Amino acid sequence: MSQTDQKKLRAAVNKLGKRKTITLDDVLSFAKSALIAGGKDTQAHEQCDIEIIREEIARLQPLDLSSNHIPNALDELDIAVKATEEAAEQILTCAEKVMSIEASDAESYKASVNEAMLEILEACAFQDISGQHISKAVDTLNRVDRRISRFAKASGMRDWVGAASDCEARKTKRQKELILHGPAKDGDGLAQDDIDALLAG
Amino acid sequence: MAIDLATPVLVVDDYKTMIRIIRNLLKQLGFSEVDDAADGTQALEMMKRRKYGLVISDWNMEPMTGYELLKEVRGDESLNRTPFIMVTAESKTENVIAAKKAGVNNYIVKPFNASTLKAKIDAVFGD
Repeated sequence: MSQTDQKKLRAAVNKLGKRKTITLDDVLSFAKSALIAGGKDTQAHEQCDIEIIREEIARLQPLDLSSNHIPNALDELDIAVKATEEAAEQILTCAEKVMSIEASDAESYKASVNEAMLEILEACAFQDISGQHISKAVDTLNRVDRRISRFAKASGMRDWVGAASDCEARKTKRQKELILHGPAKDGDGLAQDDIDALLAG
Repeated sequence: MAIDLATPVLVVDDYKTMIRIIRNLLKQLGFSEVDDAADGTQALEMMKRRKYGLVISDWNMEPMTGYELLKEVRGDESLNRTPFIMVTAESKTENVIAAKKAGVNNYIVKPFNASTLKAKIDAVFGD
């Protein structure tokens, strides 16, 4: 690529980077600049590549994802989280009730414990409902994954080097500095015995 | 140092359910004075107002994490002798090493049970 072409490409990247919102036309315009800078400067070739990118972006159906599928998946996860919290609250309330029951009268104690246990069994029904909501959210993630994977493969795009946004950069920096990994997957983190050994060593 | 069950304990966690679980477990162990805070900033303010005999803190909270709270506590002459137990889902080696280096007294990985909590509290107080 010639220096002039490199300058053109750099100018196109800078122009795109300064935009607060990026439209489909911006992306196409950038793609056009990139193709020209890359040496594919015959009109037919350029038009063909732009048409391919246009079709792949359309197949990605980003508006459908952002206005329907992703909000729905977030709603499903919210419902699952709320159901889990409510069940935990209900089970805790029952456990606290059992711990505070006066045990002097055996009959009355047994009846109160049975009542609390029944409430705990009822609260455990959350697992079925939460599981179904989480499954729907997972379906959406799979759909997004399939569309993005197809788009990435078809367009031959390479990832942007570094963070995708300032917000993500700040979050990643905080996670690194404060060693925030979140819960480990099974077998990925240390068990309590390993931690004890590490502390004692 | 024997455990004084009347000593105030501060539980720091951003999940109310977890605070309630730890509060109940501490009650079962005989502790009568349990306060709670939703993050490190609130906990630090509370520690400056009241002398706590034990802090049990989560790691991953905002705006101030339990790790930052631990470092603040150990860097403050009036607070640095307060026993500090980390109770967290953060279970990577680097977390445990960082917490040890910062001066944590014990480290419990979530999910945990009552006997683990009791054992770690006993260990901190040398019982």
